[in-house]
Parts: sequence; structure tokens; C-alpha cells
Amino acid sequence: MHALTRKLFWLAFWVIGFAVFMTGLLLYFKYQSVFTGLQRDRVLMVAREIDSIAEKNLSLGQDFWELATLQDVIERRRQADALFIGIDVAGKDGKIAYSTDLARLGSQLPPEWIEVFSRNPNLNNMSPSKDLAVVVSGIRNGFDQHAGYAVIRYGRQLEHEAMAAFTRKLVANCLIVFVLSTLALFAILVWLERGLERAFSTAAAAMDPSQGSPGPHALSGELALIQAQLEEAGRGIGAVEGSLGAAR
Amino acid sequence: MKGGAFFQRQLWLVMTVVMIVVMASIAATVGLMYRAFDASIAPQMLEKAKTAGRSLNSLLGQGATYGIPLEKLVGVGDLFADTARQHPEIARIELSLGGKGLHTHGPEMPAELTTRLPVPGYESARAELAVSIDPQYVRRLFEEMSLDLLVVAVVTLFISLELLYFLAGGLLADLGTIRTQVDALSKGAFVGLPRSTLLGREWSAALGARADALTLRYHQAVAGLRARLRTRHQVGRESMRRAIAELRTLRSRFNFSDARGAQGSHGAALILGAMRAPFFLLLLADDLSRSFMPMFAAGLEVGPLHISPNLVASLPIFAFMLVVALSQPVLGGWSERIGRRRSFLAGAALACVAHLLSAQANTLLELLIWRSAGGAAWAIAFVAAQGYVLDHTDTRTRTVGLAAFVGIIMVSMICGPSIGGILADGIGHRATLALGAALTLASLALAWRRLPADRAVSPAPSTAPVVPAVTERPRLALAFSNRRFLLLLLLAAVPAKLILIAYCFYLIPLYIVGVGSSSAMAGRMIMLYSVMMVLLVPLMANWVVAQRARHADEPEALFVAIGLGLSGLAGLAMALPLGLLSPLILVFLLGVGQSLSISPQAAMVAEVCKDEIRTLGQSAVYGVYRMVERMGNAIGPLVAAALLEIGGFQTAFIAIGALVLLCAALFAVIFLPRRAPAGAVAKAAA
Repeated sequence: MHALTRKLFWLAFWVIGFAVFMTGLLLYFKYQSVFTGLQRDRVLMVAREIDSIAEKNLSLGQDFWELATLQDVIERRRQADALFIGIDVAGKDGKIAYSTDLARLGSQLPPEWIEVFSRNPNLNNMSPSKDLAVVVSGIRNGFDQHAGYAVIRYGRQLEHEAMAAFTRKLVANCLIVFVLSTLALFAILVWLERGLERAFSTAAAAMDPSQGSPGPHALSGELALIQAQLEEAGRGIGAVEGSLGAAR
Repeated sequence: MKGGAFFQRQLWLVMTVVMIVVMASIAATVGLMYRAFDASIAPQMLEKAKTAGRSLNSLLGQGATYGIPLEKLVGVGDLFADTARQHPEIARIELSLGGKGLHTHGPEMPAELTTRLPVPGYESARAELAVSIDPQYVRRLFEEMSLDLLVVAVVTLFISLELLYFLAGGLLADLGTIRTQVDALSKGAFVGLPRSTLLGREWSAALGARADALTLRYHQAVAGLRARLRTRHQVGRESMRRAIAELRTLRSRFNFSDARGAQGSHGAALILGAMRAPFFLLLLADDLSRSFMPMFAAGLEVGPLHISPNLVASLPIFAFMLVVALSQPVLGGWSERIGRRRSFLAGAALACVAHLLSAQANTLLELLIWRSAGGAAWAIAFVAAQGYVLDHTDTRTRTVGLAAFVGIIMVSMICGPSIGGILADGIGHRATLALGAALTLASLALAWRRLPADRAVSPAPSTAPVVPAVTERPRLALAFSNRRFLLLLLLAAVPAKLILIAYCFYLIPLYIVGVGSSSAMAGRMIMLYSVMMVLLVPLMANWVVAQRARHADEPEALFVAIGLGLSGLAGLAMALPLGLLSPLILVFLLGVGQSLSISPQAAMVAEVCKDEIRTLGQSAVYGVYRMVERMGNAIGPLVAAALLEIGGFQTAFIAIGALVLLCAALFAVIFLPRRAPAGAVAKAAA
């Protein structure tokens, strides 16, 4: 391939590559945020329901550790959605009071979770690992004091599968657009370059009187100016040469 | 006809074609993914609708436990409206009893978008809750994304231009070469000029050959004349005189030997082209973190020190700006001594390390150290790149060279924060910082390969009076002894920078994320400011020049006062209850204000410091001006953090705005020329 043509190809390749890559990246992030947002909201809805049941009981004066209906509620909720791994209700110190996994009763929530959620009260979700996500809703007692947490653990397998499927489609589509657009831009650039070369060749031919007049062309204006200057300078030099000849 | 019209047209044509194909490729990618997005998100939305239905059912079911008939339940409509408001993807909720609708919220929706659940406790009465999702939800998501896509398109446009300069440097240089030849020949300059190597070689050679042939004839004529003069022929004296006169006329019309600047400007274009890409990548790496740096810093461990999160968020910007302000005066001489190439490479290497370690920082102290190193790297690279421009341009090409230099900075300011915001939202703060390190590594590699070795720069003959060497401290003292200069610095230069950095780099990123929006939105706001600067600064500068020419007075002070006033008013926009529109108005006013005052303010220095420039030299006085101005950059985030701590976002925005408005008023009182009262003028005329 001609050096100039090669340059034009790489120009089209990188410019379109950047545009398609950035658009693909944006779509990927958007899909991820919408998908995880929908899942999170769905889980959060249940966490808030559990938290409101707990708060209702607390407001009636019941002790946090003796909320009779809560264990039954969280077990029903856990079975209602296959996404959930487990539901825990813990005191403000992180000690689990109710759980769908009975072995967890009395144990502590990981201290780093408690630290993250207590440091940022607006935060209601986190992903402690690649395969696990957690949604938290704070429970408040009748005096609006912080009493504990309703915590739902759910798997991210579905998210990974959805992201993988979306990414496959995205990569395929981006590749198609990239290849077609790169070739289109390359073709247009080559066409423009050829046009430019033609204009320059015509102008070069127009400078050679032996080739006859090529007619009006893209550089006629520029060439006319140059020709006028060349002729005038030629005449001036001719005059000097004439005077020198006469002096001999 | 102007000689360059054809070449300008060709460049515009190429740019337009590139942009149309880029836009089409973005639109095609989005269009193709729309269906995939819709198909994949819809089942998730139905799942969510099911969960919402179960949640509503648990409440409705409580009525059954108390034996209340379903049709007697109160507040059901409000409950449905609340649920739909909280979940915008839910379009309709319907409660029916025996197939008859009891309560409905939202318009009718297709069956495939509806999930139906029996209401517990009322199964015998065939009570059913139907929750439908909004088919327009995905379309709305894509509409929301249009801003992001627009940002991508704008950024792609600018980066395409940079790529064009980088990849098609040879082609553009050839176009420039032919244009120079055409311009030179059109003006009657028949001098030896470089010829194109890739594009239009035939014509370039033909032009060169015609010019060479004519030059040869000219030189032969001159040589002949000299020979005749040397032999002091007595014959043909009249003809000799005529030949000399004709030669003089020829020389006054045409140029056959003075190739000054032609080769130099061509070489300069290549060298500036080589500097362009590494410098842009280095700046871009830094600008990527503008939209999220305060949030990143606020999340780090502070250690035993009790510092408020707001102050913590401001410290990395303060450290960076302080190092930049203090190091630049020292770096000028150092960069000249060790060479531009070596100093640029040192700056790029330091920036790479600083970005990489900033991405790894776990404590505030670590981040401050690496951001300070980043500031030093930025300043080193900035001074080296500026040095390249100054070293390789002369009085004729310097303006173009400096315009290209400023252009690179502005493009980076437009692209960096917006792309950085999008990336930070997607891959996180640390990964975006690490990407910055990768960009600086690319900058280092490019600079290593492409930046030419420093040439021995002979000191240019200067028309400026020779000034005695003055050390930094007496320079400052001499400059500050001028009270009007001091007031110009304190009332205009420092407040203008303070408000810019406090708003754009500190308060807006924190505020935007604080109201629940994203880093990408903060990046877009900063980008808007940069775009306005790119568009408005040249317009405003021309306007000042036109005003000066029309009214034959000095309008600079008026422009500075109005610009500062608008910048101050920008802060007051945050008092308006307009949501995200308020920061948008703020950025708009700030952009207009800053673009109005930047050029006139710099021009005022020359006017206010006439005596100091005579004794110290222009560069020394402007050096002091720039250093003090940059101190405004450094203290901006600190002032904003203190005000944020005291009274929250609105107080911080409004207080800084009010402070700058006060400075603008004082500046106007001191600097605006007093106009003589009309009566006095009439009396004087009489």
C-alpha cells in the first residue's frame, strides 16, 4: 500500500476506533448501572418492607430481640425470590437477631459492613465480593433512634450472565460498525486525497505551456496569481538582461 | 482571491467528512444496541414489578386479616400513586375484584408488560393485583444518555483533531508546504522553499522548478552586472545605470534571496507537531481526575488528624495548585539549562509515577504527596512545552505557536473532565487514575520517540532595552511597591482564579454528586466551562480591541470589572431553586465572566506596570503576575472548603460569589477612568 494511503487508513482506524470504543464503553456502563440498579431496587424494596414491619413492632413497645412475626416474614420473603441468598436482621452492633440461615443467629455481621454503612448513612448497598451483593435498610425505634439493620444478601450470578450476554452483543455490534465506518471513512479520505492530487496535477500541467490550457480548475485563482508574478518578474529580469546586453 | 482559500477549504472538507462519519458511527452503535438493551432490561423490570406487587399485596393482605372487605380499604389509590412515583418504570397498578377494576393508577398497558398476582386473603373473591411496566422506560433511558453521547461526540471531535494532527502530520505538513510555496510565489517571493514529499509532489516540484529557474536567471543577471562593474567598462555606462535601476525596481517588487522564516516556520511546524501529542496526553491524564478528585480524597483515611471531610476533599487540589504556582518561576531557567527534551521526559516520567501511586493511595497523606508530585510534573512539562514553542518560533510565528499551545490545553480541559467523569462512574476512581498513568506512559513513549533533540538556541536580537539581572525577591518587592499593580492582583487576578478553582474543581464536583447525580454530570459541567472559554475568549479579546479602536480609550478595566462582576453573580445563581439548572447557570455566567476579563486583565499589567517593565523587563513583571494569580488557584479550594464546612453548599457558593462581587465593585471604583461631567466639558470647550 502507498505510504499516503496507509496513513489515511490508520487515521480512519483510530478516529472511528476511538468513537466506537467510547460509545460502547458508555453503553456498557449504562447497561450495568440500569441492570444492577433494577436488581438493587427490587431487593431494597423487600429490605424496606422488613424494616417497616420491624419498626411498626418496635413502635408498639416490643423488644428488638422479641419481634414475634419477623422470623416468619423474612423466611417467606427469602422463599419468594430466588435471587436472595439470605436475609438477616441485626442490632445496631451488628449482632444478628433474626436470619433465614439459623446458623447465623447470634453471630456478627462483618465489621467492615457495619463501618461502611455507619460512616455513610445514605449508602444502602455494597458488593463485598465478585459474587455477592448486599442491600441494607436501617431500622429505627419509636424514638427515631438507630436500632439495627435489615440486611439482604443476594447473588450476582444473574448480573454476570446478563453483562456477559450484553457485552457479546455490544462487541459484535461495535465491531460491525467499526469495520464499516472505518472502511467508509478510509474510502472517503482516499477519494478526497485523489481529488486533491488531481487538482495539484492539473495545476502542474497548467504551468507547462507545452501541454495546452487545461481549462478552469480548482487552483486556477492561485495559479493565475503565481503566473502573473512569474511573468512580471521574468519581464523585469529580461529588462535587466537587455540593458546588460546593450552595455556590451 | 486569497492564496490560502483552496487549502482552507480542503481542510474544512476533511474535518466535516470525519465528523459526519464519526457521528454516523456513534448513532449506528447506539441504534443497534437499543434493541438488545430493551430485550434484556424488560424481564428485569417485570421481576421488579412482581416484587413491587408482592410488597403491595402484603399491605393489602393485612385488610383480610382484620376482615375488612377489599372494596372498603382506604388510601389504596394514594399507595399506588406513591409506589409508581418511587419506581418510574412502573406505568400502571390495578386492583381488581372478580374481574372488575377497583383501584387503578396509570394508563392501560399491553398484557405482555403486565404481571398479575392474587391478593392474599381475598383469593376466594378473585382479587387480583396487576402491575405493568412502562414500555417507554428504555427509550427514556436512551434519551437521558443523549447528553453523555453528545459529550462523547464532542470529545471525539476534539480527539479526532488531535489524532489528525498526530497521524496525518506529514500530510498536513505537505499541505502547509505547498500553501507556503503558493503564498510565497503569489507575493513575488522566489526563494528556495522545502517541497512536499507525500502530497502534490508534482505541483510542488513544478512550482519549485519555476521559482528556481527564475532565481537562477536573476542571480546570473546580478553576477553579470557585478562582473561588468568590476571591470569598470567605460562603454555603455548609460545602459549599466539603466540595468542597476531596473534591478532596484525588480528587488523592490520581488524577493529572490531572503528565505528568512520560510524554512524556520516549516521546521517549527514539525517540531510543534511532534510536541503536540505527548503534551496533550500528559494534560489529558491530569484532567481526567478533575471531576472526581474531591470525592476520591474524601473517601481516604485521614489518620489521627481530625480534619473535616470537606477540607480533606480540598487538600489534593490545594497541594497540586500550590506546587504549580511556586515551581513555575524556578522551572523556566532549569528547563532551559537541561534542555526542553530532557525536562519534558522528566516531567512525563514523574507524572506517570505520580498518577500510578495516586491510584494506589490509601491515606490522605499519600495522596497529597503524589498529587504534589503530579503538580511538579505538570509544571515541568508545561514549562518544557512552552519552551519548545518559544525556542522554535520567531516573532512572525510565535503567535501561531502559542495559539497551538493554548489550543492543546483547552482541548484537554474539554475532553479530560467529561471523559474522566464517565470513566469514574463506570470503572471507579482508582482505575481512572491508573488510566491516567497509562496515558502519561504513552506521552513519555511518544516524547522519547518524536521530540527532537534541543538545538543550540542563539539569543535572538532583542529590541527591548537591556535590563540588569534582578533576583526574585527584589523583583517581587519592586513589583509590589506599585500600589495599583498590587490592587490589580488582589482585586482581580487572585479573585478570578479563586472563584474558578473553588467552583469548577471543588464545589461543583462535590455538589453534583451530593444531590444524587454522577461524576459524569460534574465532568459535563466542567466541560461546558471549557467549551465556553474556547469559543468566547477570542471573541471577547477581539471585542476589546474593537472597543479600543472605536473609542480611542482603554476599555480593559471596564471589561475586567464586568467580567469579575459576572463571575460573582454566577455564585448567586445557586440561590435559585432550579435544581441542576442552577449550577448550569453558574457555569455559564462564570464562563462569560472569565472570558470577558482574562485578556484585558493581562493587558492591564503592561499599562499599570510601565515603569517596572522598563526597569525589570516584561517577563519578570508578568512572572510575578502569573505567580500571584496562581496562588488564587491554590487558595480557592481551601476557602471553599472552609465555607462549605461553616454553612453548606449554598453558603459556600453565595459567599464566594459575594466576595468576588465586592472585589469587582472595589476594582471598578479604583480602576475605571473618571469621566468629566458634561458641564465641565462644555465649559472647557467654550
